[in-house]
Amino acid sequence: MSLLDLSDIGKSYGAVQALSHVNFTVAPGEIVGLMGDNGAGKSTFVKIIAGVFPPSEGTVRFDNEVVHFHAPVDARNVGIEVVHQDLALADNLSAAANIFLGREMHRRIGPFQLLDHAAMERRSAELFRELKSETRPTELVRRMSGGQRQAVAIARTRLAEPKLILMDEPTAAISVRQIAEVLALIGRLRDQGIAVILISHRMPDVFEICDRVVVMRRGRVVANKAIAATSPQEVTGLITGAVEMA
Amino acid sequence: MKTWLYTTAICATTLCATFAVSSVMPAHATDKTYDFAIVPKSLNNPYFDLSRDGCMAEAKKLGNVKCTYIGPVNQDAAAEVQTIQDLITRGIDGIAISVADAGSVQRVIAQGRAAGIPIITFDADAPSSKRQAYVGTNNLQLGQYLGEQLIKAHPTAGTYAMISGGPAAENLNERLKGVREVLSKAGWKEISGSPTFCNDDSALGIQQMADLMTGNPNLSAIVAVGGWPLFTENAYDAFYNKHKSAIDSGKLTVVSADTLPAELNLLKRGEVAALVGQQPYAMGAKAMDILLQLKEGKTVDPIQYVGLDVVTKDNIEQFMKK
Amino acid sequence: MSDFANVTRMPWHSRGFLASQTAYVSLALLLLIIIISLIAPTFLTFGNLSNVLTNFSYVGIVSLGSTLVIITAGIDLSVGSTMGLSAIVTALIFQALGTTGLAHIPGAVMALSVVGGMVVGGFIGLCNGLLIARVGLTPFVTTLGMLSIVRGLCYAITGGQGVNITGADSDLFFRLTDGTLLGLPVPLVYLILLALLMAVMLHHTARGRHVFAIGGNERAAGLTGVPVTGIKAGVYVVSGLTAAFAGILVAGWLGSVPANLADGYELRIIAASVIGGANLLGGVGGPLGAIVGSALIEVIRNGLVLAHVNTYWQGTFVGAIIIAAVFVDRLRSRRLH
Repeated sequence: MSLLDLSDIGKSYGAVQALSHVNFTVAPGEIVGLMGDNGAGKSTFVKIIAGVFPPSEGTVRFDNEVVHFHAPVDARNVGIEVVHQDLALADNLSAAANIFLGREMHRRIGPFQLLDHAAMERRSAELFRELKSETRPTELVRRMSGGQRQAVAIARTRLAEPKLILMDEPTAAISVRQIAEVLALIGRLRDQGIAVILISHRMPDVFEICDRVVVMRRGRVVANKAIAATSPQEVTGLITGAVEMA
Repeated sequence: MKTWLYTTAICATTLCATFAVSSVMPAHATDKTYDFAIVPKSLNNPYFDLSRDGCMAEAKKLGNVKCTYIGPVNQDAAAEVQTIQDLITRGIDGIAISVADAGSVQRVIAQGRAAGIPIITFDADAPSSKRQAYVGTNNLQLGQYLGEQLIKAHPTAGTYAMISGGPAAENLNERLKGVREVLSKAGWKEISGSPTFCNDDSALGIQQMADLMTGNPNLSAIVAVGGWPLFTENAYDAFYNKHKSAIDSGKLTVVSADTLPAELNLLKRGEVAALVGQQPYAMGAKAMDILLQLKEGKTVDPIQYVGLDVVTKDNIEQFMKK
Repeated sequence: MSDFANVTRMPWHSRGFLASQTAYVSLALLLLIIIISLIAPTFLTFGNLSNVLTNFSYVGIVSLGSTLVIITAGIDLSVGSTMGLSAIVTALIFQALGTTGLAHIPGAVMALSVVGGMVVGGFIGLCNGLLIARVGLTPFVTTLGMLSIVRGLCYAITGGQGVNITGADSDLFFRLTDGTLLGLPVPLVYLILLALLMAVMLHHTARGRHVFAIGGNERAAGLTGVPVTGIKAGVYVVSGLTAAFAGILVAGWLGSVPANLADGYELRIIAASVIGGANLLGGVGGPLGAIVGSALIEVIRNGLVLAHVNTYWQGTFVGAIIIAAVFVDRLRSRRLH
C-alpha cells in the first residue's frame, strides 16, 4: 500500500515538456532516492509534490485519496513537508521564528492573539535536541553555519508530524561530519514510520541510506530499482544515458 | 570601539562645520538694537534678493536695527509657517512676511501678535490676518500700467494671453484684474486658457510662453504679471529668436512686470516692449522703518504702497543709471 | 566535544539592539541635542521644544507607515502627495457639510471630514498595494506614478487655491489636532501611541513577523504559507493611512490647506526611515528607528535656524547624515564578517 502515488504525471511549460509519463510510488517508512542530471526534471517533480504548482497531466494520490494542491500549504496540511535546496529560510529572523513561520504559536491576552515567544523557543530547543544540533533558537539565521541552517530547515518539518518528508540535496552544502548526522537522522525518520524522498547527486549517500532508487532523465523515469538490485555504476550510466533503461 | 569614535567624529565634524559657516552670533544686544526678520516666499526667487538688499541697507542707516533674511528655500506654506514659529521662539523683535498662502499663515501671525511681536506683511498680503500693516505694490495699478503700456506699444486691439504665478496669490490676481480692466475697455480679447500659472518657476514660465504661441499663432500680445519668464535671458532669447519677425514688426508684443537686470537687458535689445517694475528694494527698506515705528509704540498706516517704475526704450538709460 | 567549543557570544555592545543602526543614530541624536543646547540655549525652552516635537511628529507618523513598507523591501514615494490630497478632501468636506443640518450635531461634521480624508489615504494605498502585490509592478515605479497622479489631483480639485477650515466643529478639530494633552503636543501623543501599536504588531503578532519574513526572503515566506500578496498590499494601505492622518494633523496646525501641502515631503519621510535603520533591501526596521530618524532631521533643521545658519545648509546636512548613518552601519557589519 503506497503512501504517495503519482500516476502518469506530466508537466509542460510552453514548448518544454519538463515531465512526461512519470509513475512514482513511495510506501510508508520507505526511503527513496531520486537521482538525475541537471534538467532531468527533479525540481519540477519536487514542486508538484510540494504543491507549488499542479501537474499538466496525471493524478496525485496521497494516502489513497486523490489530491489537488493549490498552494504549498495544502501539501503541508495532508502531511507532506519539504526541505528545499536553498532551505527557504528568512535570514533576518531567528531560528525559532523560521521554524514556526506560517504556523506561529499564540497566547490570548484579552481579545488579542499575541505570539507566544517562550513556547516557540522551548519547542524549537526540543527539536534541536532531538536532531542533536547545537543551535540556539533565538539566534538569527544570518549568523549560522550551513549545518545549523540545515538543522533549522529540518526541524521545521518536524512541527506537524508529517507522513512524508521530501529533501532536496540536503547534504550538498554542509560539512563531512554533518553529512553523517543528517543521514543518521533520515534513518531515524524511517524508524518512526515517516517516508522520505531524498534527492541527491551524491552516490555514496544514496547507496548508504536509501531502500530504493529512481533515476530520471529528460523528464522521464528510466529506472526504479531496489538499492540492493543495482550498483553505482549502473545508476551513473542511467543518469548519463549510457544505459538506456533498467 | 572604533565605530563609536567614527560616529562621534562625524557628529563633531558636522557641528564644527555649522560653527564655521554660521553667521556671527548676535552680539548680546543692548536694549536698543532690534533684530527684525524679513521672510520671503522663497529664497530662490531673485526678486526677493532686492528686498534683502533694501532691508540690510536701511538697517545700517537706522543704526539700531539688524535685518535677518530667512525663509523657505522653495515656496512651501508649511515651511514658511515653521520658520515664523521658530523666529517667535527665538525672540525676534519684529517680522515682515511675504505671504505664500494667506490662509495658512493666519494662526501663526495671531500667535506672534499674542506674544507681543510686531508683524507686518510685504509684497504679498494676508489681509484678514492680524498683521498690523502691509507694505507693497499697488497691484491693481501695476496691472493697469501693464495694460496701458501694451496699448501704447500695440495700438491696434487684438488677442492677448497672460502668465501668472499661482491662482492663490492675491497680489497677482489684483494685477490680472488691472490688466483686464484697461484692455477690455480698449477692445482687446483675452484668449481661453489664459492666464497660465507657472508656480513662480522661470523655466515653466518660458515654456508656457512657447506653448501659448504654438497653440495660438496669431496671438497679438503676451502680458506677464510677474517677470518669471524673463528672468533667464538665454531662455527668453531663444523665444525671441523664434518669433523675431513678429516681435520686431510689432505684430506680437510682450510686456512684463518687474525690472530685474536680466529683464532690463532684454528691454534694451528690444526683445520686450515695456516693463513695469515693483520696488522690492523699497519694500525691504520700508519694512524696517515700519517695524521700528511699531516697536516704538507709534501708529502706522495699515496699507502703504511703494512706487512703480515704468520702463521703456525711451527711459531705460536713465533707469539703469539709478 | 561540542560543536561550539570555539564560539562564544559577542560582547554586549556588539549584540542585539545595541549593535543596530538605530542605536547609533539614537546616540548621535542625543549628542546633537546636547551640542545644540550649548550653542543655542533657546533650544531647550518650552516653546521651542513644543514646536520641535510637534513638527517632527508629522514626519514621524508617516515614517511609521513608510518603515513598514520598507521592511517588505518596497518603497512608497506617494506619501507626500497622499498627505496633501487627504488634507484637501478633509477640508472640502468640512466646508461642504458646514452648511448642512449636520452642523447642529456636535462633532458630526468633523468626524465625517476626518473619515473622508482617511478613506482617501487608504484608497490610494490600496491602489498602490494591488498594483504592486497582485499585478506585480515594481514599488518604485508604481508609487512614483501615484505621486504625480495624486499631486495632480490636489491641484485639479482645488484649482490651485487653498481651502480654509472654518465653521462648525473647526475649533474642536483644532483642539484635537493642534492642542496639548498633559502638556505634550497632541501630534506627539498620536505618534507615540501609533509607534507603540506598531511595535506590538511587528514583534508580537504573526502578521508582524510575516512582514519581516517577506522582506527577508519573500519566496520562503510564500512557501511556508505566509499570505504574501495580502500582507504586501496591506502595508501600502497602512502607509496611505498614516500619510492621510499626518496630512489631516498638518491641516489642523495650519488652519488652511494650501494646494501644494506636503509637496516633496516623501524624500524627507523616506530619509527619516532610512536614517533610523530601515534597510531598503528589506527585512530590517522598526518604529523606534522611524521616530529617531524623524527627530534627527527636525532637530538639525531647528538647530540650524536657532544658530542663525543659512537655511540652504539644511538640505546639505540632512543628506550628509543619511550617508553617514548607513556608512557607519556598513563599517559595523563589515567588522563582523
